[in-house]
Amino acid sequence: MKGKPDPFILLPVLMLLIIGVVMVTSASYPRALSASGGTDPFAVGKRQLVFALLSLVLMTVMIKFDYHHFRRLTVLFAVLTPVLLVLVLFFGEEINGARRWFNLGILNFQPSELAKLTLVFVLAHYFTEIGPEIRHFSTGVLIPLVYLGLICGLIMLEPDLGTVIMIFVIFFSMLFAAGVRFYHLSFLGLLAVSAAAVLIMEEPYRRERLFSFLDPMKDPRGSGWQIIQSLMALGSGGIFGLGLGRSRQKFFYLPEPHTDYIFSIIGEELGLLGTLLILIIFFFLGWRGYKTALSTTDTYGSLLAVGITSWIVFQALMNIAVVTSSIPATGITLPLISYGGSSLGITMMALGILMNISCERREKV
Amino acid sequence: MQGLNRLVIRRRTTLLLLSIFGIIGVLIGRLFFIQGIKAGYYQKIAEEQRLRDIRVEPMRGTIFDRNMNTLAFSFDTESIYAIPYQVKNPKADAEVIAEKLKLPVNDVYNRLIKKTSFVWLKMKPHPEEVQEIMEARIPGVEVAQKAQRFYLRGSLAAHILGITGIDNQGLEGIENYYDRYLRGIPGSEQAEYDSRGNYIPLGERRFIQAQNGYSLVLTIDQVIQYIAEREIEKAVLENGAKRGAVILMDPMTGEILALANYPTFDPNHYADYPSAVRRNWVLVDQYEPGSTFKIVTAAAALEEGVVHRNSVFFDPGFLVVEDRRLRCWRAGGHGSQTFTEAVENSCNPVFASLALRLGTDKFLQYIEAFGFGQQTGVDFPGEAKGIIPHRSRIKNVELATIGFGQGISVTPLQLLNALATVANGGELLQPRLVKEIRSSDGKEVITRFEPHKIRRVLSPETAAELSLILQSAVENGSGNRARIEGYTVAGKTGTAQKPQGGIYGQERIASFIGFAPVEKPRVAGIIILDEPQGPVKYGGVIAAPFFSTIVGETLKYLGVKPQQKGEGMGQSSGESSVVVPNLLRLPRADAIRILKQSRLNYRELGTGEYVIAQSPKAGVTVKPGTTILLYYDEASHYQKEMPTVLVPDLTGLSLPAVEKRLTELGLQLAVSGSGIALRQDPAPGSRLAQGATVTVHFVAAGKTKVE
Repeated sequence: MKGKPDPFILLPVLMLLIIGVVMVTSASYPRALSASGGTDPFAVGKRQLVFALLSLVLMTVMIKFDYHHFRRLTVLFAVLTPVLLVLVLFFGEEINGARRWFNLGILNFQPSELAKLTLVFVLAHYFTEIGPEIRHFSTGVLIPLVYLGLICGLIMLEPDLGTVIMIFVIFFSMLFAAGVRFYHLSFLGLLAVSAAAVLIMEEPYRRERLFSFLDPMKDPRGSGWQIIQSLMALGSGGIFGLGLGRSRQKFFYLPEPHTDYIFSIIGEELGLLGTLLILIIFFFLGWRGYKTALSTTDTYGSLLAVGITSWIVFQALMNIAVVTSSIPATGITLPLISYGGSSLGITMMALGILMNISCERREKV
Repeated sequence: MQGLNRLVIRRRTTLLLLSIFGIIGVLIGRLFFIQGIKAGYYQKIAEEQRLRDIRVEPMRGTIFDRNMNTLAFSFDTESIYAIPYQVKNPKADAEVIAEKLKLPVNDVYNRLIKKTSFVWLKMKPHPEEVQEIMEARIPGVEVAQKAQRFYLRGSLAAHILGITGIDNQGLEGIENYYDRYLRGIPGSEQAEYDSRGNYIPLGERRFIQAQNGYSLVLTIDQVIQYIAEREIEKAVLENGAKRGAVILMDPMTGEILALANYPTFDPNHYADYPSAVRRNWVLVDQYEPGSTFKIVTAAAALEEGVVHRNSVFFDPGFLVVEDRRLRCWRAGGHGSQTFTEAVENSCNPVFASLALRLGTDKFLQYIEAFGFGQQTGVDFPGEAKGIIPHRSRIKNVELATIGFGQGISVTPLQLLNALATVANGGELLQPRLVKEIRSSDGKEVITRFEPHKIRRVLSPETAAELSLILQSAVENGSGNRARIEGYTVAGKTGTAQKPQGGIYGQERIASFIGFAPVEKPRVAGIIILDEPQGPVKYGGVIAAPFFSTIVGETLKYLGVKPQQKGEGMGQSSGESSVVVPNLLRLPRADAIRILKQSRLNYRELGTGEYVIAQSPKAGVTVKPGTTILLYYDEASHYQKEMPTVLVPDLTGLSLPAVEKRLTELGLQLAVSGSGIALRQDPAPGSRLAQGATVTVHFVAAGKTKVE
């Protein structure tokens, strides 16, 4: 029954991975130079290269590993994830007032990244199990919502609103794809919006972010700084870009140039051509991912594919929407490109699973 | 068990695909907007935020004297500035900066939070302060090179040079008049900086060279200027005058060779002096000239033929004009005299009648032709015009008084320029202070100002005749103390009453105006003493001797050969007369020696060491062998014998070394600046009484190459 994995998933993944390593190296240059006291401007780039190679190994393993086995591990993931999310609150590294990471020496592990994969596993398994019950509110919405609430609640304690929003998007897309009724979904949407409103209005710094999105020039050197610097980077790039390595905004104007705002640096160095290429690659990846969901005969695999694809593509789009100031800043990374070991590892693992699913496709869509 | 509806999953997944397609469409739209349409705008603001334009100050042009000796030049010093945009913690940084630069914290803070990209924090900081600020490495606080003006000779020619402000702008004098030449054109250095204030390695750096200012060559000769300043200081102090001034001019070209005022100031520290002291009043103020103006009356009268050299006048001591008796300065009058003698005697009624003979229109025509009532056009800011009363207000009385210099206001420069017209054969020239504008290094001449003739005022014959009359006035008349051994001098004294509150009071302006040698004039000069307080206030007595010294030394310096004996002025008046020398305040022995040399006898009255009075008075012409009465006074304090010492050369020494040298000699030290000694006042080799003060100017080591 097994065919070959879809090469058109592997291709965009590899492209993004390579672009990521190159751009992280470029974007992190000034910071690495300054952090290493002028000795190693490529320190961050080198680490990202190592992560990329390790994650390729992980992906290869996943391509070979029959995804059906994960179905039996669902409970393990479902239990382990909340436990890790609790542990991180106590043993995590505190950075900028948030505890999101375990410091594992060379690698920082972020349990909320794992939570995305876990959620995909849990929902795919659950909906495959309940079948037509999905059309009832209690089984289709309420029960999944309880688990989502647990996960999101724990992540909010870190706190990390960006990841919570991302997890909700994955959750919503999977409920949508699995066939939850539209008016149930609209209730969910309403709930999410009101929850977001409460979360934003309660926390002054989030409120500030929202307002600075609406009017970044009101405080260009404070809350509006990131947005303005990001737009300056993108705008400075114009159509063709300043050339690889020639970004000026990465020189301490743009915060997080190699993580959350790497897309701005791509825009500055490679221009509109570069940013469009990234968007097209992600679209292509999304198309192949959903196509995998459509072509597979296995419902569980289908839902997994939808979850993974939605996760990666929507996260990318959300990140790009933030740096182009199309939505308020949320603080999420650009998958496969932004610097970060654990997120890259888990993303590549998910993509490996997706490719494994793609082996099962029918000849015709 | 029933599974999920596959059809629903397929439909909904397709919808998800469509939704990402839609979102991507929107994002592409956003990117086109940001990177396409608004690209220019974002590029511009990004550039503005990282490009810093640092002004590179041009070096202000050097000012040379006519022989290319440096009088004023600029050199770089360091200044501390801030880029408020880059200052992260204005409050904390302000405290650090204020402490290191010894400035008020609030002041610094207010500057740091200014919404500009550039503020000066401190000009001319101490080198240690610069060091400390650099070490503190406060983001946004930088050190720049800034040019500073330095007047090499201190107060020498201060009133001509003027002063310069901290931003390299000429405020007064030549510095102001020629500011647009001296100033130069600022350059700029543009570089890209990151938000921490460091250069971006790949960033652009544009450097626009500053264009240094042109240099100026003055018509002033620093040696003559020095002579003039030394003598005017002496003249003012000896006569207790409020102030005094000298202008020397080359009458053939209109070039001003020296212009000295006392009291004076040091343009390097101009703020330490009252602004009144900085006023170059001989150009910017006017006064009633008195007798010196008679030259103009004489010139007009001679030119118009209403008088000749030998025309005879009778002066009863007054002239009645309408209902006014215009009195001569000499009670009883001068009796019968030729015109030449009237000039020698400076006889007011004669000049009053000349003015009346000329008539208002003719006289005014000459006054205006000589340049009175208008600026001479000298290249100096704020020149006064003088005041000629309106034609309609000049009745006969006024006309007559103008004839001897009352009721008209002129500037000393106008008067000198009028005299120069007589000296050069009748042409009015434009006086000049600057000879050439040169390239900043002083090597290439950009503009040369040739003598500029304004108009012919007198025929050469009239000019020559008047010159001879004025020569006679010096040799035989009131100006005889202006005589210079070996040279012929033409000139006129003046003792103007100073109007105070509408009437003429006790104060006088004593002056002498003249030129030499008469045959081929090289120097014309005017010396003015404002409100002298001594027992004698006559210009012929107190101003003329200094004219003699200044012009005499100048002629020797210029290499003008003294005339052979037998042709000189001593001979023309014959062996039969001697001028009584001024013996006041001299020690007894010196007075007697001088009298013996002058072939005069003496009689001593009273006891004491110093001459307090003499009779006849100084300046009077007497026959050789005349007895001069000398009055002595023990208590005279005018010239107490004080041990004098030779001022050593202190240049190049450190402050402690200078202090030690001067203390050993019993001299006081006044310090200005710090570092090593660059300049001193008085100059090495001068004699000073013990206890006197030597002012030494120090500069930071390494800056001495300027000499």
